[in-house]
Amino acid sequence: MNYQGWVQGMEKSLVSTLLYKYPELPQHIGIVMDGNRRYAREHHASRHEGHSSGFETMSGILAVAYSAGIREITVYAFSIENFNRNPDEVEDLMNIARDKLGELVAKGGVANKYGVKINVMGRVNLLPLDLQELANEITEITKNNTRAVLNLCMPYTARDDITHAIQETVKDLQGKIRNNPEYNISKIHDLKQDLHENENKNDNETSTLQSKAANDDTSNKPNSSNSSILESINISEETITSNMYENTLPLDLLIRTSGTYRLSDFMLWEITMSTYIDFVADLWPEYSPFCFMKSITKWLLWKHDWLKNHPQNCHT
Amino acid sequence: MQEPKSENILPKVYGRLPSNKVADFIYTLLASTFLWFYTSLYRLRESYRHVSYHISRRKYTNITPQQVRTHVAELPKIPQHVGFILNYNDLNGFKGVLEAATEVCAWTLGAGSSRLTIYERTGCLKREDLQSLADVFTSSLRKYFGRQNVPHIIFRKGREYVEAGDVGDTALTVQFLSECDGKPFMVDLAKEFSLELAQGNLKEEDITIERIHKLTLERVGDEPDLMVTFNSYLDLEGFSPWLARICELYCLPDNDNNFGFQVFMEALKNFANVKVNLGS
Repeated sequence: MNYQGWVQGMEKSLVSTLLYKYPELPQHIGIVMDGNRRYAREHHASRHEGHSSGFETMSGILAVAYSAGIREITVYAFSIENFNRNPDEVEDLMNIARDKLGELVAKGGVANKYGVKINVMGRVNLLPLDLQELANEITEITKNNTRAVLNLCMPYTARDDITHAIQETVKDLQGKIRNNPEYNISKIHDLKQDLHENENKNDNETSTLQSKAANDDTSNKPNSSNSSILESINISEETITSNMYENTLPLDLLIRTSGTYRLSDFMLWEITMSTYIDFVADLWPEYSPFCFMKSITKWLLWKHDWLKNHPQNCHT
Repeated sequence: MQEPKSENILPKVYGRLPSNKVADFIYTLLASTFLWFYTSLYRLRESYRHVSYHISRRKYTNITPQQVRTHVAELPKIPQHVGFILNYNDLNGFKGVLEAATEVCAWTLGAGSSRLTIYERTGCLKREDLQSLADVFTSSLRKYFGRQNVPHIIFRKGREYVEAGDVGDTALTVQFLSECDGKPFMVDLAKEFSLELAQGNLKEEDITIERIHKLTLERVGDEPDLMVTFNSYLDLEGFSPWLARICELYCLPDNDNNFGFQVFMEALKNFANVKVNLGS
């Protein structure tokens, strides 16, 4: 092994060991791996080399994270919007995915070594057929792994995920609505009117967060005439969350590299007030295990401050 | 909550490092030292920033739209649509939120952006009568623009809108958003789609990104180019997930929730250097 490889190996071992000793770790981390192309440009390398370096970085960070005890990682590997790129580059990215996805589940790969279940998340049907088969295969091979989870978002956008979740929610409810003994078209029309009135009421009559919660309760409560149909469309935020592509753990930390202060259509639904967003200036291939340790440390400090300001969440 | 650390994963954790009791003690010591050192540096930087922000904030006290125009004149680009997240508690209730809202409106007019989103989570602004809000904003802007020279502004909440101001073409459109426009709005849409599907007015394949986006534009509003928060860290406070897709997010690190033009100015500087290349 060359000297550089030895140093990198030692850095990974040291960082994962130190993180393992931390008082607390985030349980679910989302990563936007941005900056591969800029890295290639800055190092006078080809785009292919930039993306390959990005994958190597991902494997290294995953190894550190899983060995330290992090339960779930979601990485933004390929956006639906990326199909708008130059066809050669898209083909190149697909080739990298073909080569590297197999490495994840191979002997000694991340899935095998750390007992990681891999989910390919997003509009998989947009991928070339052989990649779809590969995605199904790695999901199948790793489905019984329980120690940790890796969600590979490809091809994914959060708006697509939200739309998919709404579609699934609506689809699930159709049987319940149509089989309802009170179901008829004119009644549905009345219910739509009620819904619009409730929507306006939410906007106009909410006075404080507490009373908003009360309003939400009442808006979900059926009125006497339309009770059982309205009961059957009792949709909540949780219903939609449960119909997302993957039902993930709450997102604790979101890391975005390359100094960009945008979410770029990634996990918009999952980001809550208890998510710490770390925008990092390094390009993704330059993001080392030590940078990862800094992100986790910032999360730890943020959480300390956040719990001070939100004492009601101390149990989480 | 972190899972109990089982012994059988230890060899994988240590990797190439020695694993015995002495080594284990050294690792614990190293981790604690690093945490202590990093925390000290972090807090030191925090204190330094508090002081430097306090000094530079003086530069921008009682800033007028005309002064804002001078400050932004050198920036290569300005966002067309600016959003602000105002926190009810940090601004000491409704009165503070209203004052802050009129102030950000003046800044936005000065900066030359044509649209403004004011997001306040609890909905204390959105709950107000739109005409009354427009009157308060206009009378507050008179101190900068004079009695008869307030630019024409459209105030909007949902589908309702009111026009105000004295002169010229529409200089600014202000939209008020609250937490109800975020996930609860998506839930309402799902309910509406369920009923329309049951009625036979909609097919499953009609529930598309484009449809949801169109309805969001009509009933909530559109996405800002730049979203500014006065928190020390980025907290979207329940802002609509649909409208946070590609907007530039800005918070001034360690600002400690201080409301002031300095944050907006830094956000504008940051935005001016941004290149957006979505997907391509």
